[in-house]
This record gives sequence, structure tokens and C-alpha cells, in this order.
Amino acid sequence: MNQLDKIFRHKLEHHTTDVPAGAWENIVSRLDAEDKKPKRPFLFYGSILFVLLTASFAFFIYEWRNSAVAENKGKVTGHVISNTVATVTIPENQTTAQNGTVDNSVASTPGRINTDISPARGINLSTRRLASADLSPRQNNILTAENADVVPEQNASALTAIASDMAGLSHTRTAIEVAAPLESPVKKVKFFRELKFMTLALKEKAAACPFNAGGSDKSLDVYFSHDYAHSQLAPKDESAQDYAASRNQTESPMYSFSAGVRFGYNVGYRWNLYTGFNYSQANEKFEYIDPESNQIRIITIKDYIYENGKIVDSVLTEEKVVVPGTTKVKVYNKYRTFDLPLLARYTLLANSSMSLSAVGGLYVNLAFSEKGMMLDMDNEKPVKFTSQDTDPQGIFRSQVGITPYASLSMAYHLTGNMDLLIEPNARFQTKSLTSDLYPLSQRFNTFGISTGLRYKF
Amino acid sequence: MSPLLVNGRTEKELIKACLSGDRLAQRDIFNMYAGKMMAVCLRYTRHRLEAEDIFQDAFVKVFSHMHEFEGGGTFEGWIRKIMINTAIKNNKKKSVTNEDIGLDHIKEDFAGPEVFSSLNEEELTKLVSSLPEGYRMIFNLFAIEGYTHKEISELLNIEESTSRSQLAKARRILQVKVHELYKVAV
Repeated sequence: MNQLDKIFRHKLEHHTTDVPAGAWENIVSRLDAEDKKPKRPFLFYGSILFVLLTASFAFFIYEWRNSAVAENKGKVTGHVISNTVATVTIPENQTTAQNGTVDNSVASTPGRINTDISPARGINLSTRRLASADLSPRQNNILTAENADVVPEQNASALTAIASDMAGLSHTRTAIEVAAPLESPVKKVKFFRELKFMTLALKEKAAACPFNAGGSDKSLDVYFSHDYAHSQLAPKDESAQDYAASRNQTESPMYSFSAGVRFGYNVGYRWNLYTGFNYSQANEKFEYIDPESNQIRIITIKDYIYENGKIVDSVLTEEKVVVPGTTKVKVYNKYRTFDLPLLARYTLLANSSMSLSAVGGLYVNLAFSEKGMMLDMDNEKPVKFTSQDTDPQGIFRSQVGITPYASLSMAYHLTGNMDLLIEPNARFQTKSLTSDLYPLSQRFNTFGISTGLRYKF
Repeated sequence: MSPLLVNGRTEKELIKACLSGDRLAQRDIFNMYAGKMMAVCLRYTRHRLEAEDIFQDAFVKVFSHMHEFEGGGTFEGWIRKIMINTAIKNNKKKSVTNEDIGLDHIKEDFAGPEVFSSLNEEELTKLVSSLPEGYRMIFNLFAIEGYTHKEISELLNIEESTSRSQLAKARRILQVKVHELYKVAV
């Protein structure tokens, strides 16, 4: 610090001056306006709600699928048990015992039934009722079952075995109705069957997907996308058209990229739901050449006045010379978004090694930041911009809303659990990046090809 | 030393009250520092209106970010820092012009330090305000606020050598300007 600095510091460090009139009132009104602003933007809470709803939905689907699987596994047996009356007809000459004897005999039968059927089918059977029934003279030692088309051979043979046992009891005019205690899952399935989508998924589930055969319900995708992000600048009114043209001239798209992870859940043969995190960076080049960037040089000329060969005085003249020059500014602008993808995938084509799916959904923006340079709207000179700027009159928003996403996803089996993904994709921003006060709206339409890996748990 | 009382409350009590949104306390804090801070803002800008905008923006930040004041330094220092940062941000937003005034030819005839001592605060402030944008920032930060060249380079995102050379140029410009003033006066 030299002497000059010390003088300035000494005199100005604690210097005070007049305060502008009305400054405090302006500050208070701005503080009041800030207090009224919601602390968190609506979209933030909306995103959280969306995630919770999605998670709840996924959990519900998971529960339902478990029930559906149980129902599928016990489907045939359950139907037989609930809808079918197994009738055992025994020759008259073998029927000697009374009903009471039959009850005792049947009482010993459940153990057998449970042993033969329940462990194999996951169903608990019990003998609920033993009742008399009409005896058909033509059906000797025959087990008949209604809805026989849905009775698998194993169950039929099991019931035949029961019938044989019953036949061995030497009772006459006796029928056995076997009921299944599968009320809970059956009720759930009935409830969901009212939903058409669910019914479709359930039906399709019955078919085997050649690509996903033996696969798991849960998966994790990791991807990197090579993007082209086209900035769409549109004037909000006619007066901003020239400014929009100037900005379009100075800004050009560059290689952009996005990357992220997605958690997938299979909700049906063809349907999968995804959510996760996505980071995108749209890059642009700002190039500005100012041909009238003049440099002002001050030339000081000192003329000495001589008298008798000695300098007696001097005259100082100052000239300002304008040196024409050119200012070139080249800056790489960056627009960064952090999104929560909410996507659904529908399998269009599949064989045992490859599949082609359509993916669609929304990217919910969690955060947006920007950094770079653009032309100023007032004088069309370059100005810096950054998301660190907390100016309320700032150009950009802090969040950019919801962006629709669509892609075609091709998957190829690398190993039993790992697929290679190639996914041409497109995103279209619906909300302008710029604030309401800014004369231009700015949106990015992004086209990319992502490559990634899918791991199935 | 007993703490300074404003309307019967110490600065610490006023800060606590400000945190709970007490407008009276906020006004007292404003009245305590407004004059000093306006003087700071004037030094960082060329025009008074611009300084007033920075002054108001910065005070809004002071009250809305008061919970971030940790009490490590003085409260006045914290407010001053906000004023300076707001002025720097405001400067970054403005158009980028490479104001480079050729001073290579000025080799003599500029005022010595003693001339500056005779100037009052307003005149010195005007002199600093009249400096080209970049030079003004660096001169203020280095000569008056006491920042080092390293800190300035980080704050303004420039090289340390740039900070040094611009400070030297700023000093010479000030000396030339004062010399001119002095000549006119004489």
C-alpha cells in the first residue's frame, strides 16, 4: 500500500453520506413482498407429492401382483374347490354304513387332502361338509367335476384319489363338497378386475414374454445420452423481434449431454414404470464481435520554451486519439437441469434376445441453473449471466417445470441379468426458461441417443 | 466499553429482533449503517442512481439473509461485504467493455500524494467514481477495503497480474486527474 492508498483509505473508509430519500420505504416494501412469497415454489411440493403418489402406486401394484400371483398359482384348484362339487358315487351293494360313520371317515380324510394337494399347490383344502346327494346309477366309482375344463390333471387325479378313499368307506348316496379358504386373494383380484387396465395386464401376464422370460420385476438403468439441444428463442411482442434476431445470430448450439439412473418396475407383460434422476447440460456457444470497439489513447505532449538555450517554461497539451479496434468475445454457455423422470415403457416387439419398446412420460424439473453470456436487451452488448444472481429482475427462472419425454428403447441381452440399451430420445420444454419480465421466451428442444445398461435384480 | 444503544437496545438485541421480522429493529439497523453504506456504494459506481439501486438491493439482502450472520466478525463488516458483493455482481451484469486507456505516454506531470490530502471526502469519492469500471473496482478493493491481489483475483475472476497492473493504472489516472484539477484551480 502506497501513500496515495493510505490517504484514500484514511479519508473514505468511515466516510458517511446522505441516504437517498424514501430508501427505507422501498426496502420495507420489497421485504414485505418477499415475506408474502411462498418459501418453496409450488412445483417443489408438487414434485414431492408426485413422487409419493408414484411410490404408493408402485407399492400398490407390487401388493396386487403378489395377490395375483397367488391367485394364478391357485387359480385352477381354487375354482375347482369353490365351483365344483365332487360327487362320489358308490355302488349300492357297498353302502352299509350310516351318515355318522361317513363323518368319521371323512374326518380322517383332510390330512390326506392336505398332503396331496396343499403342499403342491399352495392351497389349504378342508372338507367342509359331507352331505347326501342323488346317486346316479350309471356313475359307479366316478368322480365328476363341474367346470372340468379348468381342472388340471393333477388335481383331477388327486380328487380321484379322494373319491377312491371315499369309495372304500362303503357309503351310499354320499357327496363331498370341498371348499377352499382363498377368500382374501380372490376378493382382491375381483376388486382389481374392475379396472380394465389391470385386467388387461393380468391377462397378458398369463402369456410368456420371450424377452423377459425368467426375468425379474425390478431393474436399474444407467445411461448417458449424447444430445443436440436446440434453443428456441421467441419474442413475446413485436418490439423484441430485432433483439431475438440478434441473440439468434450470436448463439449457436453445441454438443450437449445428459445422464442418469432409472429404477424400473414391471407391472405387466408389456408395461414397466420408471423413476430416478436425470442431469442434463445444454451447451451453446456465444460469439460476439464488436467492430466498433475503439480504444482511446491519451497523448500528452510537453513543449519546452527556451530562452538563451535554457528551458524557462513548458506547455502541456493533451490529445485524445481514438484507435479503431475489434472486440471478440467467445463464451460457452451452460444450461443445467436436474430432473425427476416419471416414465412408462411399453414393449412393442420382443424375441428371446432383443426387444423394442416405446417410452413416454414426464421430466419434472427439480433445479435449473445457467451460466454464460448473452446480448443485453437494452444496448445489445454482451452481458454475463449466472444462476448465482439473486436479482429479482433476473432473466432466468430457478425451475423450468415439466418436460414431456419420448423415446424408442432397444434392449439386447448381454447376460441373464444385464441388457444393453440404445435409446433415441426427444424432450420438449413446455415452459420458458426466462422470467415473465424478459422480452423473449426460451425453450430447449433436445434430441439425443442414449446408451446404457439395464440390470435386472 | 459499553455496547452502543439504539433506542435502548444493543446491536446484538437489534439483530435478534430483526431475525423475528421486527421492522422497528430493522429500521434502527438501517439508520445505524445507511450513511456509511451509501458512501461505499457511491465509490463503486459512476452514477448516484446506480449506487442507490445497489444500496437498496444490498439492504434487502442484509435483512433477508440475516440468519446467515454468524457473528465471526463485526456486523458492520458483514453488511459492507454484502454491499461490495452486490456492487461487483451489478458490475458483472453490465456490458463488457474493455476500457483500456493508454497511459504509456504520461510520464510526468501528475499530482503527488500531498495534493490528495488537501481534498475532502466528497472530492475523493468523485475521483474514485470517475475511474473506468475495472480500475475502480480494483482500486476500491485494494486501497480502501484492504483486499489482497489474490482475493481480488478470486472475487473478480481475473489474474493477479491483471489486478496489479490495473491498480497501478488506476493510481496514475487518479494522479493525472488531480493534477488537472489542481492546474485549473491554479
